[in-house]
Amino acid sequence: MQLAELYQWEIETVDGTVRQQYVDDGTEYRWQDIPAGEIIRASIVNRVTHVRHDCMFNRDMGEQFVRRFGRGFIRVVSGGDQEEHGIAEYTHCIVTTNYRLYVLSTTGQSIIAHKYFELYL
Amino acid sequence: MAATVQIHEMTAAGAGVDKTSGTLRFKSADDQTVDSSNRIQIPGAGSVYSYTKHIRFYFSTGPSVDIQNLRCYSDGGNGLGTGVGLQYDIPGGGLGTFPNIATNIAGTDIFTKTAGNPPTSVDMDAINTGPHTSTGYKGDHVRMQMSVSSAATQGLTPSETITCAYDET
Repeated sequence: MQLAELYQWEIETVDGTVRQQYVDDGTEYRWQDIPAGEIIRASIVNRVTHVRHDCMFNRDMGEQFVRRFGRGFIRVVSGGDQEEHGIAEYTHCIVTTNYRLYVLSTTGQSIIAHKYFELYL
Repeated sequence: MAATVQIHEMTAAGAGVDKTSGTLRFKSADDQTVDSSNRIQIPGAGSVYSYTKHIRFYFSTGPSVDIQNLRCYSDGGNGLGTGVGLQYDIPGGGLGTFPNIATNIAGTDIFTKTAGNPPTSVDMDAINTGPHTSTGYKGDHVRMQMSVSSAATQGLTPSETITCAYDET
């Protein structure tokens, strides 16, 4: 399993339906097809350990899911004789109307940040 | 599934060598081999320049939806040593139009580009804009060139890291 696939998103809607990014038939679910206003929970879940990071949305307070994305970081070495290998980090991010949740795939570290904060490593 | 994303050092307009797991060696020859041949000689006065190197994103497997916001950046500090620099530009036509050269491209110091959204970092899909789908070469070429002035000291330079980042939907 490549680093980018170690975690996946999971979304629960107001009717109790839970959808995960990776479907058993090998396809991938599109979060864009889920109305944001119906989402009551968005999570980033480790597919091996099942450790999860949950964002719970208080719809009565106007808090909503906005989008999610993954951000990959590749290190290219120049000069010297040092070599690094492959994707150095892959972060998953859930963007909400109030904040962002970033999870680093290499360590499982989570970071809560301003809703416009762009995490670079 | 998630895309498999690589960084290639270009060898032709639509071909390159995977450097995701490797090193870019700036030298006085136009090849991608990482060795100690064709070393850049320190000039008696002024500066000399390595052959340019073009890097570009390559998707060996495509994303489920799309990828955008291709960019790269340095750590903001030139650790290559006194008299050694690394400059870049974004040639619109890529390697097919801009073959590698060993004369000054008069580019921008890459160590002025740091972590953040462009223009803080180098925008790698300003010309070939996203969102990017499917497989193949994506976004813009970044052409880099090492400069060595008479103030440099001999020997192997310390290594520096260029970070390339992308957002996958």
